[in-house]
Amino acid sequence: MWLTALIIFVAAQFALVTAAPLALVHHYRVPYEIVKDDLRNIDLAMATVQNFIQRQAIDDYVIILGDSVGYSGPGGPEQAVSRYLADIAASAGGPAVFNFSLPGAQIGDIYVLMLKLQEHGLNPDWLIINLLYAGFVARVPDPPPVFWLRDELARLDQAADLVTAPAYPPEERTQTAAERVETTIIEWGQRYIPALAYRDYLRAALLGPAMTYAQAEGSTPVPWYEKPWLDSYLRQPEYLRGYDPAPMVMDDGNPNVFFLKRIAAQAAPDTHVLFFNSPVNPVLLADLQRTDGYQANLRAIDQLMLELHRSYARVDYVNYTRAIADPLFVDHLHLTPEGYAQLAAMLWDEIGMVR
Amino acid sequence: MAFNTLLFVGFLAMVVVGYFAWPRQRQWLLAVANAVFYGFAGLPHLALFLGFSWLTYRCSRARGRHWLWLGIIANLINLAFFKYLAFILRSLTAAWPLPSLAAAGSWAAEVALPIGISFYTFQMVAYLADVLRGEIEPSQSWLEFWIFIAFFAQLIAGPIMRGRQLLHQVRSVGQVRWDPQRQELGLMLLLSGLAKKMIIADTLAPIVGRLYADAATLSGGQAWLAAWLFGFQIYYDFSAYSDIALGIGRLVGIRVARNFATPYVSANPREFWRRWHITLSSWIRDYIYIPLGGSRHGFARSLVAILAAMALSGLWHGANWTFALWGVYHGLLVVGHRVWTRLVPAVPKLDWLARILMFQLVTLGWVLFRVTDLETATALLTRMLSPGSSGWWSGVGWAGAAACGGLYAMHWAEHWALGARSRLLRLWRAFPAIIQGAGWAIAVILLLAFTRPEASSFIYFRF
Repeated sequence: MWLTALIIFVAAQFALVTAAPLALVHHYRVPYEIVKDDLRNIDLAMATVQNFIQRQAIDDYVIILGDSVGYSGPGGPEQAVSRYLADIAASAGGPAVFNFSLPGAQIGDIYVLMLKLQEHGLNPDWLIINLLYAGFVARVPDPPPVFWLRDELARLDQAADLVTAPAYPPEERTQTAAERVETTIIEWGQRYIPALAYRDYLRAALLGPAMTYAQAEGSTPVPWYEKPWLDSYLRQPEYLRGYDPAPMVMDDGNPNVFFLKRIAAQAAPDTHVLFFNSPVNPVLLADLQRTDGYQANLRAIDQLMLELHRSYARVDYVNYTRAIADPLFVDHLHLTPEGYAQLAAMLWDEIGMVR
Repeated sequence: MAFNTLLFVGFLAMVVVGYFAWPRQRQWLLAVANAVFYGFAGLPHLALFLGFSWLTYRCSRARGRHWLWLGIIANLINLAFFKYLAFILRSLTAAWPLPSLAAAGSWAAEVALPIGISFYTFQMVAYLADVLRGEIEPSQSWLEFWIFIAFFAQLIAGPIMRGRQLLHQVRSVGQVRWDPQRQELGLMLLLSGLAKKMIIADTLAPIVGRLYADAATLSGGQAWLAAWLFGFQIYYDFSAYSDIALGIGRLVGIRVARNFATPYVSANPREFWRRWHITLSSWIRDYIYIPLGGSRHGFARSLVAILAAMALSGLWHGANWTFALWGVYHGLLVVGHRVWTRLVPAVPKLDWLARILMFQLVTLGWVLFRVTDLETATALLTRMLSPGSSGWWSGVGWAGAAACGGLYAMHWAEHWALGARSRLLRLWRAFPAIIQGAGWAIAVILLLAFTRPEASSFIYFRF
């Protein structure tokens, strides 16, 4: 009996590595709730997507990288821009779409995600990356330019880490002796026991609705005009800072500029990179958008991206800041499902123009 | 070291292998294992525990009853200092205009509670009291006493073992033989405990946490939902620990007392306390209720003794008035039931109705246990008991109700399985090896999937 148990256990591990279904790790996007608690899960998702692409012999695919806009918060995966883009692509016989965006991701995280894609052999035809005006605003010192994947930046591009790290010393991590030993055991186990490596995804698949309820994800997004408190909420300093009209520093001293150049330079040679400046709510942020400083900064961003396009032919850029009407926003930045559907249609047009 | 970690799995595997590889060294092995297990909680706490276990042992061996009393008092002072000092000071300064001695940041508020102190203190007090009453002989060596008092299977969250249950087993560990059927049963109990904790209790924990975080806005129906779910969370959490303790005991051939017997099927309060935290209930009966007079001084006095014992039982769970009130509430239920059965001896037999009603009464009590202040408890209980009020049902989805129904059904299924365990075990062993092997493999894969980046603590660890 014990030998049978061992054989079945080993066989299950083998099956998990070779035939894990895509839906286990990626359902229109990688699940933030799973990735945020253990960033190793992003590697597992990439490995599984790569495995899926090989098994299905897919040779034409798009990958979206970005922050909460790329991720398409606050809606569920079925309301994500990647879902709508996948639907349009499927109806046109076009590429498969994968989304590795992470809420809270900064430009440095997006750069690391791109390097990780390459590490996993994922070289899409199109890499779509969302940018934010706030990303170019001076960091004083927060938010750090690499929020999630600092350790991975040091591993994958030490030079970039050395440039950006001094202003952001790593957080002190205090662990008890038991926690240190436990972490070591789990890290070892995750390397050799797939059931342990996939544990967060397996648990989510098994628990399903209970987990969704506990995490309050996937609730129906409410448009911004149904939230009377939102206007005053967004006038708090931490939000206003993201739309600071003060002139932006547009040289390599700005982490966004530094990492954008790095992304453009290090993207795989046969990958088109489409950056889009994310839409903003034209009514909720009307006062700010009318300021000369804001407009000048937007022009500076456009100019930077134009220069990148001139330097790297595979890099394209489109400015969507005023592209979506206010009823399709849930706040100043994030969209309703209809808003994400419109964004997907616009992105499809961009891809189509170049295809 | 928590049971639901891979660290513990590795630790246990080493202990079991060493236990059967070197049978002559078993006492030393268990003694070291106990110290290592507890040492992960922090060396100062281990030193404190070792010190008090040595003191207790010396007191039990010394000539004269006053040494036994001294040991009991010393242990109770130790518990009072670490667990109740801040609470006592807070209560005193709230009642009288004294300078706040237990304010946040003060030394009294910063005293860290040694893990498992309530359990090991009660076990040591019971041991000394049993020696005092002449019910057991004092332990023959400190090594033997240390294994008894710190047996890692039940050290942190019980069951609270008595000397007469465990000491003789410790003395004879050298005679334990490898028994495949016993080992298999031990593994089953271990895995079922881990499954209860990691799959059920840890899944319920964030849901319950989310509901109680919004306690101020919960409707009456939602408050019931939260209380039911917490009732199941605490049951599956605590009984998981006890199942694991039973399983570890089997693996090393030591019988550990059962602490739970599906309490939510109880038809009355007395039955509930014979099924919930059984070893604490019997401890309270033997060392508080009976010394207070028990039923020897008439019916009325016995009711007072019940109330006092149950209030103390509540306070044992935590240094907060909500816990004391929870104890008093259960005391009132027991008293009410005793008065009722005395006044109406021939009650019509509506067993199923009594069981459902008792479950609801226990659920009301969990509100006091879960919240941290009386205002929130009062507000929630008022809403729960006002079903006619407007919006009472709002926010109660079918999914939550179905989950509660499913968990209750599962509890009854466990109740049935416990009754039929011999038959079920025979049935399992009659299956072909491939089915049994698949069962074990699936169980291990499931548990691996439910390990967490950081192991969650068991609720009763904080007591």
